[in-house]
Formats: sequence, C-alpha cells, structure tokens
Amino acid sequence: MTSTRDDEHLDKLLTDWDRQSTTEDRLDGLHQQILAEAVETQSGAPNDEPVSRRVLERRTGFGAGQCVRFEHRSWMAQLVVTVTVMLLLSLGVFLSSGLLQPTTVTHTDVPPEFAWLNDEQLQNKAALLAEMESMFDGQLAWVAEDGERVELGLDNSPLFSSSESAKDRVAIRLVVVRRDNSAAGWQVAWAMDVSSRQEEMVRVASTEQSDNALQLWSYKLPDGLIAVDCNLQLAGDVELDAKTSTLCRDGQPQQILETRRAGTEYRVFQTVALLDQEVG
Amino acid sequence: MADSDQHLLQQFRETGRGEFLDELLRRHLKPIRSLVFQMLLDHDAADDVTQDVFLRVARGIARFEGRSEFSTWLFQIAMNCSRSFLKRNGRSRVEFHDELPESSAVSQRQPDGAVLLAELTTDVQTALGQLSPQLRAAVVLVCLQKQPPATAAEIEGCSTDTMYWRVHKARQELKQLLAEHLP
Repeated sequence: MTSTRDDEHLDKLLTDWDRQSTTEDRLDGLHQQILAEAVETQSGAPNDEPVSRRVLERRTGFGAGQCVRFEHRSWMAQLVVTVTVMLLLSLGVFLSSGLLQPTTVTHTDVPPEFAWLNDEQLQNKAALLAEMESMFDGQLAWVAEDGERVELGLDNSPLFSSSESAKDRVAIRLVVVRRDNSAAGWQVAWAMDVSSRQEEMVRVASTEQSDNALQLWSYKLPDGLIAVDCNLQLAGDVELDAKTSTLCRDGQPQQILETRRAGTEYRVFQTVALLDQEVG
Repeated sequence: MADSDQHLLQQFRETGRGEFLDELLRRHLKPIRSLVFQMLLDHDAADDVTQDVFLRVARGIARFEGRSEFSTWLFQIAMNCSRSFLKRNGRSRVEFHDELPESSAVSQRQPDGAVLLAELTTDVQTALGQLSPQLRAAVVLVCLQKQPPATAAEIEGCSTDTMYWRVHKARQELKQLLAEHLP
C-alpha cells in the first residue's frame, strides 16, 4: 500500500482522535453488564426476546443535541481550470483516435471494436499529453476529447515531475451505444477519451454548448488492476446517468452499465489503459 | 498455557460459568467496543451494539467454525452488527452531534490548546461520519485497528485489492475533509 507523508499525517490525526475518543471508564460497566446478561440467559432465565431487538431498541437515536451539518469541500483542493480548445489544436491526433468517425456497432456481446484503445491511439494520446504538458508548463492535469471539443484541466502542482508519476498516466475511453429496438443495430451515441495522471479527479463540466458532465478518477493497484470511479451524466439526445466503481484490466474494455429508457437500450463501455511513460 | 478463545467460548456455552466469558471479555471487549464506536461514532450506540455482539457470541447465535482467527471472526460480527444498526437507523452517513466524546469534553475555561484539540476531535469525527460505511470500515480496520489489508478484506468479505482501493479512496476523502488540519 502506498504510504506517503500525507497518509502518515492523516493516520496521526486519526490515531490522536482515537486516543481522545477512548472511554476506558465505560468498559468496566459494559463488561459487567454483558457478563450478567449472558450468564443469566445461559442459566435458563426466561428471555425470549431477540438480543439485537432488545438491546438496540433501548435507544432510539444517536443522542440528543443539535446536529452539526458538515459542508463538503470540493474533492480536489487543486485549482482546476477548464479550457475549451478548438479542435484544430490537435486535429491530426484526434482524427486518428477515431472519435470523429461515425461508427455502427454490430454486436455488444463482446466489447465493440470502437471501445478498444489500440497501440497507435495510445501513442498518440501520450504524445498529445507530452505536447500539452510542454505548452502549459507542467500544469496539465488531464485532457478530454469527445470528437467535437477538447477540454483541458490545469492545476498548480507540477505534472510528471518525477519518473515515478510519469508511469501513472492513463487513457480512459467511455463509449455509450444505443439501439431503438432489438432488431436494430447498435449505434455509438456518445464517446469521450480522457488522458490524465493517475488519481487525478477529472471533471468535465457541462457548458453552454453541452449539458453533458463527467467525473473520473483512477488509481492503479499494486497488482496492476486499475480502479476507476465514473460519474457520467448525459443530457440532450441521450439521457443517461451512470455512477460506477469498477476494477479494470489494463486495456480491456468493460461494460459498466446497461439500461433502457423509453424503449431505447443503452450500454456503456469503459476502457482504461496505462500510457507508455517513455512516449513524449 | 492460556486457554484458546474457542475453548473458553465452548466452556461457557457448556457450563454457563461466568469466568470463561469473563476471560473472553477481558481479551476482546476493548478492541471490539473501539471498532464499533469508530463505525457508529456514538458512545451509547457503541455500548448497545457491542453488547449485542458478545451476547450473540455467548448464546451461539453466531457460531465460530474455525475458518479464520477468532478475533477476525469477532470483528466480522461486530462489523455486521454495526452495519445493521446503521441500516436500521437509516444512517449510512452518520450525522455527528455537537456533544463531544466524554473524555474530550471541554469547559469554557480550558486553555486554547484543549479547545483546539476538542475542535480537532470534532472535525475528525465529523469527517469519518461523512464517509460511506464501506469506506469508513476500510479506514477503521486498516488505519485505526491496524489490521493487515488482507485480514481487513476477509472481515469485509472483499478482495485484498478492493480493500487497498477502499483505504486509498477513504484517505483521499478524509484528506479533503480535514485539509485544514493537514500540512
């Protein structure tokens, strides 16, 4: 398990809290209470009421007092600036990703071909990241492409500042396919590619041009599996709300959602691939 | 040589003599009560659920089959009882009330350091309460109870990888929630 200095600070906070919260004085009373009740019932005294019900119904809540409402802070303390960049910026790269090409998926029993990220696409994404990183002086956190627009997430902390972090870039492809009836073929309804650092909270917010929003977070586990949290909200032609947590194999497409809305079937595929650290 | 936990439990069930259970309680009450409190974040509820855990064990409602360590089995029961309590009370995310834990209660006359400590305690507890039960269980088992991730995974009935992931995710959320207390 990764043990960073931040983790150590956090663990110390937790340990201090635990020490403060320990109530040794309650243990003796509790000990005696349990002992008495257990011995009493073990010796055959009448006591037919279920344990959990009898014990737990003695109290109805967590105690009196005014409730303290906690205000969530944003997930990431980083300053993320989302910049919409016109397609021309890296047109060649995006065209080669296939996102601009209309695609018909003939079957979905296996992940559609469109869901895969091939080697050439991965190399292009790694190259794009390297270019962007250079352009934004190491502040690039993520790049998202949906075939019509490209969004960049920037933050204050340096990107790829060490060879270690450079290993942890990932490309994630999300594809939504739909069909209006079982006889019809599957059509790609929406797709987006995201390239980011590992553990980066990617937030593609809705804009005036698009009501779609996406949050992604990925983390590579010690055994090579990649954990991905995805919160996808599509509005407009396709209405979909997918919130998933999955463990993925590097480069292996995975169906993360299947749903039906107003007679139309939808399936969502997700592919996560580690980007080659040597590229770029 | 000290009797094994399993032997003590068996003896208690067979004889009903308190000294066997008394010894089991000496060994396990403190960590189990601590675990339950860390899940429920309420001392009264923790007392009740802890009592429920040991009465289930004593009465044989929960049966130890030797497939894991006795302490791991107890932790499993404690976690299940805690989750049931949270579910029954509709509190997957625990709302933390402004009464401080008894041992850290402060009066208005206490020096600033004590007040700050009490605030920190409150903030940590509130942050833990914001975690989902699943993530809270992960951080409680691994970070507070110092269980190896593999054991924590066994207690929670998930893979070790998933436990790593949950701990990481829980830490991420806690770091955000407690940012003002971290360097």
